[in-house]
Amino acid sequence: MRKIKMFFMDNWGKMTIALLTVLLIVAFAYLLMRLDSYARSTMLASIPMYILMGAIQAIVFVGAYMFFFSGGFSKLKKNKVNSSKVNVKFTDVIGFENAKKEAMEVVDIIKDSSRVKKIGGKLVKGILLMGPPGCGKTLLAKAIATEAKMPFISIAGSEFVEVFVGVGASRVRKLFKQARKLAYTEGSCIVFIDEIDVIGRGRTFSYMGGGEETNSTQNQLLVEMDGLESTGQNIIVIAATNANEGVLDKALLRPGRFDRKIQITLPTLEEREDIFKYYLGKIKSGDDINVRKLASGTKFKSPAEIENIVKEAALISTRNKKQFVDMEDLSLAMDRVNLGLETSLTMTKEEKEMTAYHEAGHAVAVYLLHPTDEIFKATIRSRGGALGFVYHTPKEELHNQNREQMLATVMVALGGYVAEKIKYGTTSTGVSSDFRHAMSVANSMVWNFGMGTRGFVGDFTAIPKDCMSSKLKEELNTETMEIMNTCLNKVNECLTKEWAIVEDLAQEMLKKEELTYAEVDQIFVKHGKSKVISDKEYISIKDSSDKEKSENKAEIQKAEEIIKEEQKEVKAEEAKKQD
Amino acid sequence: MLKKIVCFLLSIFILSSCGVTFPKETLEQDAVKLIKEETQKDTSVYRYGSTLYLDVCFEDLVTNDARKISAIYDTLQKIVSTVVRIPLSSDADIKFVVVSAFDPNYQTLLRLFENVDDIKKYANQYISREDYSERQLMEFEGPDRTKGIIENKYDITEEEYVARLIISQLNNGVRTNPFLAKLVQALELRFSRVENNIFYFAISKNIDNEEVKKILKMMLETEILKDIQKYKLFSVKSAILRDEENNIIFSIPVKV
Repeated sequence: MRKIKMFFMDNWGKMTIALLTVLLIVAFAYLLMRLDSYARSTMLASIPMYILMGAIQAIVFVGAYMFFFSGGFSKLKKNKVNSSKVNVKFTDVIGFENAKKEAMEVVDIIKDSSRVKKIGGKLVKGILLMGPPGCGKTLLAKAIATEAKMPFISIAGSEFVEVFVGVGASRVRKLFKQARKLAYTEGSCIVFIDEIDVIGRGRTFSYMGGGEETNSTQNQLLVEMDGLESTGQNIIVIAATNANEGVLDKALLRPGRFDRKIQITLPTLEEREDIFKYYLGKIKSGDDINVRKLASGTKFKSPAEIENIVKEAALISTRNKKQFVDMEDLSLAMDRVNLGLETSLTMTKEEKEMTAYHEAGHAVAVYLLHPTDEIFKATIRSRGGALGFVYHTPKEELHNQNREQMLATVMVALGGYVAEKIKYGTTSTGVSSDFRHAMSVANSMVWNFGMGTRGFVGDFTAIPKDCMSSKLKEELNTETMEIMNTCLNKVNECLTKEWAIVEDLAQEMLKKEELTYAEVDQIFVKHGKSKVISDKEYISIKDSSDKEKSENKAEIQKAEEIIKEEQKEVKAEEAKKQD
Repeated sequence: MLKKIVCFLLSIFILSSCGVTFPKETLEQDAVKLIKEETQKDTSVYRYGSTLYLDVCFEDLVTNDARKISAIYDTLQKIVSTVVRIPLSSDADIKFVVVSAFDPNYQTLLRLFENVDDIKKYANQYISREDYSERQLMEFEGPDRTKGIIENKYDITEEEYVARLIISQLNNGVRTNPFLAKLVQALELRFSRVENNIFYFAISKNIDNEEVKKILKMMLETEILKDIQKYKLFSVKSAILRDEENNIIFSIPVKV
């Protein structure tokens, strides 16, 4: 009934015009039939010309009228999303289980809001999805649209921005008007605003009394979400943004508007494994693919980047005329994504040799001195401006670095310089980026993290430079240099001792140009040094830790039962005493 | 749904426009009925080949009452404008319409000839109003010839029509111009026949004055050339004017 009523309310104008048109046609047909055949033929012969003239007039005058008085620049394109066409379920969204759980809860509340109202609660008005790009915010919104089976209007923040002032606010009004109509007929409606930071940034007010155009757009959005007339309408606004909470206006983030904030973070190691499995499941892949290795090599990578790696690997495989994607293709794809296309630099033999020893120095330093990282790849093929690189990643997901790990980072960075010095007695300009990295780590150890040895504890970058004494600066810089020199000496000692490994690695790289982790490990094993744990060992470690966890759980349950029994006994004794 | 309705209606009136309003089988009856509806006058309609004759009786045709004359002319105009619709909306091949209004008391006759092609050209604005009015063919006949004309109906050819038009134009000119009328002594030209692409005209009385002959010849020559070019009747060779004794007064060779 409501739908019919809304249909008539929306379309009364069109229906009137249609009815009049039909009546005119009927009258015209009847009167034409009553004419003599000559007059009728004359009339019919002139109809095409009348139609043409009418069409030209319509285009010029009516079209201009329709454009300026029926929306004009503030007209919104049709942006109602059909949930059956989107077809992304929660099961298709991999990772961020907490965010999914929140989203599922919201969907349940939307579907059955009576439960909440019985208790006297209120529906969630707004949900803000925050996270880095490519993490799945829009995908999650699509999943909400599919699962909720509610009318879903999607719009981007940039669609509110137009050259003419006032158009943004007008579009916000139109959007919510459309949403209210849909909520009236269907029960509720979801509005999804992608990239809300375009209009949701903190409002600026100039001393002249004016402000930016986006102020008015944002003000309208605030009023529509929780203004004077916004009570009783089941409209839920979901917004997505890459920006921090601090960037957005506080009025937008207050309870009553975007009261739920869901952080969608970069995937963990397990989640990356699942994502790799998901995307590899969509293509033909070989059995040699080590998903754990891939996952550990893609730390801080978003699901979109992982998808890109798999896509790139498929293209590389196709280019090489293979039947399926293997580990080599994925490795090349990661290099391509991380460092860009391989550049064809023609190096002299000596340059290449120097690069090989430089990278070998880094590789040995990582292998022998770094407590957490393992080598993923060592290459002397130039990419993205670098003549070669050693790609190393932590074995497991770490969110903090201790002093030893940071020192190891400095040592690894200095490994190339030391190797060149030992081999050639001189160095090259290729060490500049390594020095920059080493210096910045050492500097942050002393200035930010209080990891020096002289007792300077605190974040000295928080003190303005002009408030700091030159003596203190000198002390801190001296400490930084001490760290650098200590690390340099350690690396020198290590590489001198294990020079044979450096030589072997360098020669192998000159021969093959690119070495995988297995090939690198083989060389170390040959020299009696092995650090890499096999997959079997990993699984057994994992199993044993899982076993430990389950055993612990069983023990805890046992303990709880014992406590309950003891409590029962105590109560029984007290009851006896009272008697 | 709206599209279906529109298509249905369009197809109805397109199909209905295929048929003619006055089929040739029932042309005469339809014409009589139509004129009775439009003008409340009883008429007789006859069709001879491509010529449609319509006879209507007016008892007060000969009168000096200006109001009656005006009324008669209005009715006649209505009859003419009604009857010319018939050949336009008919599948019969009608080229000429002849409306004969006669007064039975005085046996006088007024005949109006309508060329259907000229009507179409005027309706479609191929010819101007002035040109169309110049193509009006009227003939007045007295008691001596009325009966014969009414009874003698036949299919008119285009040559005859043009010849009659020439005569009608000249006679109108004489009637309307008193000086000319005085000069030519109220002579009236008549159409005689068309034979072998030669126009034969006759004159109501003999001409004694050479000046009159000269004027008549000049007027006839001008009119013949004008009308032949108008109707593209380039097969006409000459025009001959005879007197009552059938003597040739003059002959005009036609050179286009």
